Amino acid sequence: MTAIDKALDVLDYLSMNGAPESLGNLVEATALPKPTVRRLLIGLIENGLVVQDQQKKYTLGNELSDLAARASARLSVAEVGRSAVGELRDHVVGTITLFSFSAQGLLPVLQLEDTASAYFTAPRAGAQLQQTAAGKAILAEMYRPAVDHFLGTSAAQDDTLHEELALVRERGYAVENEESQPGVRAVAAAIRSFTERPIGAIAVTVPVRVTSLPELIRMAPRVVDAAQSVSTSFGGGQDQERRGDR
Amino acid sequence: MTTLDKATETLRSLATFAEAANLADIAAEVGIPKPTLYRVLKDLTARGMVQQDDTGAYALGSRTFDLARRSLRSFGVSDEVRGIMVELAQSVDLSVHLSGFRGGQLVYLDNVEVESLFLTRSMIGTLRPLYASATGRCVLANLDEVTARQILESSDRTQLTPRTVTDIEEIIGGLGQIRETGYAINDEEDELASVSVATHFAGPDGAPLGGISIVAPSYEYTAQDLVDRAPQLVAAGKRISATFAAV
Repeated sequence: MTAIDKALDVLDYLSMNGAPESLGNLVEATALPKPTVRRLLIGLIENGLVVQDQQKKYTLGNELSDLAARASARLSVAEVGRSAVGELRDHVVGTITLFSFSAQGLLPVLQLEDTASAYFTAPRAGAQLQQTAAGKAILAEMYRPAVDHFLGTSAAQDDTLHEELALVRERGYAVENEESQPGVRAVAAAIRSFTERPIGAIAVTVPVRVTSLPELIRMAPRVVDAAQSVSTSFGGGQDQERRGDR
Repeated sequence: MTTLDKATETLRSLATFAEAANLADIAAEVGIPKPTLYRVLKDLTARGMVQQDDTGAYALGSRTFDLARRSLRSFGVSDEVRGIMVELAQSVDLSVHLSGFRGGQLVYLDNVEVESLFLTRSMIGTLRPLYASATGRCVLANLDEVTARQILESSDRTQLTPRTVTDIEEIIGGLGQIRETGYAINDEEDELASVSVATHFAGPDGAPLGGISIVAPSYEYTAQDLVDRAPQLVAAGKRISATFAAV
């Protein structure tokens, strides 16, 4: 085992339950001698990879998020998502749209039309978030106060919408059934970053007369996988471990 | 330099490259011999901290991002705190930022952006300079002077803009007024084009746990405009402190 392996073992253990750990627990978990663990922790603290709190317990350090933030500032959803969207093209019908998301709203950054189909649809520009599949996928990833902030008071009090968002969260994808434009259906999944915020979405949009609702929903796992693979590049976690606090 | 120091330097270096970097470039940046760097990268790659693309170039791996997410999450920002931030942002119609103070460092944790032409790239997760940010000085003002001085002495105090105050005595000298008024102003001291006002929040023992700030573009807002909004900000800071007392 190398010095790096031992240090990363300590980080692995600290990452497991998120709560600060005592020296004793770390010694037990790593099965390393106490002086070794102590020395490892000193090195990890010096490098900002571990911090010690006021109760003398250890937790994951601040350098980690600084690294991730600076690295991901250089990544764009459009560039990172390109290959995932390209791969998705082989598995679904309809128009595939990759969106980035910021305070300014949803922005389509890449669109692949279904050249095999005579009918062509696309997400409606300027639609409200709660009307589109991509918008709902994004809203479902947000903290409740942020949802209320984005939608304003009227939508914030819409219990049906919040129930639907809870369902989207549970399933991992959102469905739109002629809500933003007649004759159009869509399924979408959100892209998350290590900050646990939505930074984009992938949507598949189809004409109602070509693709039935069950057919659309059968494509959902592919869309979820594609979005997850982009999320992974930005450090977004898997569904199961997210939002445990909800 | 220990092996761990080299590994951390390697990760830091990878975070600064726009795209995947090759061994020679990283070696030049980190300043360690290529064979040593190769072994470090091999260990880091085996653990997913670093990844290699088809061409053999290196970039930060998903495990680094995963640990970053868990590190941020361990600050435990609650929906209640986010709700207070949203209310503040809506009442002043300006963006609100939240930072956490831990291990002598300030980490930018969250923001509520209001619609504006002023686009800022979200840098959530980054370390913020305590000496050159309003939030940092609010935290310093609520630490004992010995600790505040230690933090200032160990920071690099880079001149980030022409307005950055880097003199320790001058910074310490300003802390009394911050303690008294409950807020600090930052007028283009960490970045040009941005003016902010901040207040701290604290745990039940009074120890500062971080701060919130109202951030505005300096071409539209003056420091005085933000001072006018300080009462609402300070009230929000107290409400955030109260959420910790309740736990």
